Amino acid sequence: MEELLREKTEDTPYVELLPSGKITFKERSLPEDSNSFFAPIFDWVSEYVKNPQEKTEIIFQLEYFNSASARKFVKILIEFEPLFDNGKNVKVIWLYKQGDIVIRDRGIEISKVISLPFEVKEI
Amino acid sequence: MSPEFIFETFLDLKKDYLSFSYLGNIHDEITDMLIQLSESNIDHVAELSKMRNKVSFLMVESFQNIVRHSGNIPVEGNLPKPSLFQIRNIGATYYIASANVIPNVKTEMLKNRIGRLNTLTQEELKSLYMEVLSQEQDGIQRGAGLGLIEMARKSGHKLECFFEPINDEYTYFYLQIKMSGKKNPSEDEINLTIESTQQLHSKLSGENILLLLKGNFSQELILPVLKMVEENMSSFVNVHDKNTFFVLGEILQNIPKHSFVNEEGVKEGIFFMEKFGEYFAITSGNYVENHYVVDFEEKLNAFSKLSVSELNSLYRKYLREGNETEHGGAGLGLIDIIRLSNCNFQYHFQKINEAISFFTMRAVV
Repeated sequence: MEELLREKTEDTPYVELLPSGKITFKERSLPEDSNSFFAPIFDWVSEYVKNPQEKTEIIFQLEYFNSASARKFVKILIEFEPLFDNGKNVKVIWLYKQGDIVIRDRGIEISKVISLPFEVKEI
Repeated sequence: MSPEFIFETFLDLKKDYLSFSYLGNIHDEITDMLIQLSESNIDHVAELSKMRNKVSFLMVESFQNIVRHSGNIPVEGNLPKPSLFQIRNIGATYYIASANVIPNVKTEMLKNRIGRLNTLTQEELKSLYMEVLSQEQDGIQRGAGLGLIEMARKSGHKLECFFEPINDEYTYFYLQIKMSGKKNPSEDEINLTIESTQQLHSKLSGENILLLLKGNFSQELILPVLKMVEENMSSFVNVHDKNTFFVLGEILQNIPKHSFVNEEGVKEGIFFMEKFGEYFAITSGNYVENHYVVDFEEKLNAFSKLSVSELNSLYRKYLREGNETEHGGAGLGLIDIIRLSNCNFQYHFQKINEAISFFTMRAVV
């Protein structure tokens, strides 16, 4: 399985999907068409969950994302729930900039709809 | 701001392919954003895209001119109107206008200088430019109107100015530069007088408008606006500023998502940002197809009846289960706007004809 990398743009996040089990989303996410931007990411994730690592870490370090992206992030996380249910080590790490209460709370909100270990941490 | 005001302003700017007004402190940071904004919209007319560099140059020059002539002006809060910077593109013509406060003592000098420039030919302007440039380089004369000469040269039209007295000490100095991509623009395209710019300034100021944008809504139009607002924020982690940014992003992106596409393939919309006290009001207006209105209105009506905590629960429900549309939206954006505005949210549909309605929404954050 190959890695999937996307450099950040003005309206799309930095994306790093590594077969080693480290998945990262950074910066901003407000694509004009979230379906087409996230489609390859979903393809990658559905391949990964077929043959996952023992440990998977999904890291978010965002400073702004729109509601359509929020929905996509949740959908991505939902894909990992069966892994956790089957005893794999899956963890979500939600990082926010010092003082960025809004992004912290957006992370807490997402954690409430997801059944995965979820750590919200200031950096 | 009433739905009538929104629609009336939209109709006033009907011929504008791009219309941008900024009312507030003029500073260099917004220049880049304005260049990006106008460049993203300049390619739709072949005659205009040739003038791309000229338009950018004149915007920068016009900005510097404001700063140069401002002097020791009173604080913005004591003024009847904030300063104005405006770009309007109508057909193959671009207008760049500014209004700023100058001390009364400068009025005659500017009036004479602009009057004189308007009598000169391109050749004469060129020699005057060279002459003033060498004087400046020799340190004989500083700020002798090189900017104005450049504006007159690059624009190829007469510079328009207008002076509106404020009191015994200060005056609003309006300056309008025109650039035409066509040699003989149609009647419609040469219709924009500086008096109408002054009237629009007063109208917008009366509604506490900070930003007005009318145009073909796409991501290229939205991103520079978001950038500009962000640069004007105290910090990108401040709770109120950030929540405002979330509402702004959702409202701006909502316009192209739902907008009716006219026969030219344009998603015409209007957007306002007002500031009063600590609050911002964010407003949008655009055409929607009538067959879409019933469902849309029903959804908005249902959301508007909910409390913030009910909206929060609904947001979470949609976050997990929401049905996505072809563009990826799930109704989440509207819920987010309403809850962040603490339910200070209004919407309105005005039927235009059998096919379309004009939809407005306004959220206070």
